[in-house]
Amino acid sequence: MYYVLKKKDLPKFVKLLNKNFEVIAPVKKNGSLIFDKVSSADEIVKNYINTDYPPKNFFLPDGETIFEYKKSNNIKIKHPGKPKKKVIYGIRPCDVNALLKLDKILGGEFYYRIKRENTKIIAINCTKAGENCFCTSLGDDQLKEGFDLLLTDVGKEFYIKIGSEWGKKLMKHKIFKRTENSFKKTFFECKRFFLAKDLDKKIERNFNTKIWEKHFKKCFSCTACSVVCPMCYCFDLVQVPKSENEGKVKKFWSSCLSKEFSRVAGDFIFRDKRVNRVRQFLSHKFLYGKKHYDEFLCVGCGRCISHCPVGIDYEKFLEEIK
Amino acid sequence: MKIYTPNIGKIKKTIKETEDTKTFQIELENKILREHFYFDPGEFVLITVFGVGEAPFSISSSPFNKNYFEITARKTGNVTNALFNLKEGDKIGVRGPHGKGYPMDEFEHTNIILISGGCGLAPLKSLIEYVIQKRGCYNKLTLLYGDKTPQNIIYEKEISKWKKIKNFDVHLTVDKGDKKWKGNVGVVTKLINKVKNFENSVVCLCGPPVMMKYSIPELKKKGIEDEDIFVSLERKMQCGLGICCHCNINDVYVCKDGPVFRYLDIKDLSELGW
Repeated sequence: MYYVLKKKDLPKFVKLLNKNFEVIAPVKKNGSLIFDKVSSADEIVKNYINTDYPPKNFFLPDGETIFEYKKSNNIKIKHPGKPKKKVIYGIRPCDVNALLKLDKILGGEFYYRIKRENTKIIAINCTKAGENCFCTSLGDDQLKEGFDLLLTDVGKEFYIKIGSEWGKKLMKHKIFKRTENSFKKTFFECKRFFLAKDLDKKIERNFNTKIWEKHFKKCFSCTACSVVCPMCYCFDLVQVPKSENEGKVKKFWSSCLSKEFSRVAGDFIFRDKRVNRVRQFLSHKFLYGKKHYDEFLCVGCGRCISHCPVGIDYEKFLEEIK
Repeated sequence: MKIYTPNIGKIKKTIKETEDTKTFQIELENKILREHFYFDPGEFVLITVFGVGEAPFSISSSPFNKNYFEITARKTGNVTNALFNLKEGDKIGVRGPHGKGYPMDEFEHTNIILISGGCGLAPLKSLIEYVIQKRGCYNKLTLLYGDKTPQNIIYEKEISKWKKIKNFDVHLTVDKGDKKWKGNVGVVTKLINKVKNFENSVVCLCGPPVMMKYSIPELKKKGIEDEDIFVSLERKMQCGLGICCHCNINDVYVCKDGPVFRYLDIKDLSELGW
């Protein structure tokens, strides 16, 4: 059973959501398509394959405050308050799947979990794939869970699947019509394809071969692929003093592609060579991720390919590795 | 859980070991946490100097000590420099104990040989004090300890006490001696020949990678098996809980699976580097 929303009623839908939530949706800003706060449906970009950046900063903000401290005779520690209730509208299945995988890794972290718990997910299915998409190879184009509502664009209206109690209640509003009909799904496959089975074993087999040099010697460690990856979550905890006696501890994104990532006292750097750092990047996603969490830590959004300044194509590598 | 928020500890006492190394006695403010501060020798804590940063340190005191714990820090970076300037009574942040230490139960009724370079003696001191307190459960204890110069030697007071303990052999060496130094000169690997009996023995190594690299082949020649060698490794750590991914060596997390590893389990890791 589905609900139907006429596209012309989208402004009403956004208004309804805005009553109790900050609505986050795809908007154009400084030339990029990103997720940001909107106050009306006019601001939302409707025709897009995917955003240039994933919505990970709403769950793992770069530079989020972990706690504040104040020194006197004692040290007082204060934690940030509850985050505002948000709803993310227009998120694609790949990015929702990225959140589901992150839940397995970061679910025990209060800072991440409280944001997850206070954010509703209104996802919209894709009807076509982008140049660099490869989600269909990993199965991350499909959503079985992880959404409050899942919308499918069928032309003049959206067909809506309900994924939570909250979503169910919302459907009581008069702009939604219940229907016993079904809709014709637009089936698509990404142009790019590789067999995901045994990718972990393939990486393990090739760990000490020249393949890394062959594919990645162009990399100059700019870390752009890490920044735009919906799954890159590695971080640094950094003290940010305000004065001698007070300050904050913040969590910043950190990338294994940077040399600093493994530096210890005495200036030892354990991954000095750039290709070894790319190997770490991919091994974490496809080998260690599989071992530790039974997941490939990649959803095939292809943003890493779109954003690489030297044209490194991770997907081509995944196609070629044997 | 607010897993990155430290508990507050007070520096009870500082002990100057050398020009650039100090031991800090730390007491957790919270009584319940203090009483439940359980760890095995070899585990570590993350110490925050507020306003400067957080860094991992091996616990150097005995787990039987319930009122306080100790760390030993050599001035090498921002955190250790700042830590050095703190006085008794100053407050710091403490997370942990974290990680996996030495399997002390498995070591019962064996001879334990300890090989240590520089500050690597810190976690081994915890092990030594543990063994001394449960002396009946362990056989012979041998410590081989090398440092750069006689001035760099830490735990001098403790070492002179250890030398008097029955069934405990202590051998020191320095890379470069001075007029007063009458002991061994040379790398710590050379001291391995001072050990007479390698039967029924386990070996724990803690020191720079180069020490591990040259000691392990020597130990193998003496008949020590990979499964009886334990190494303590160092990597950059941030979270201390196996999340932030700074410290992995291949698929192993130093913070969570170590820092103490059975050599057999890590010897084939290609990112080990030695």
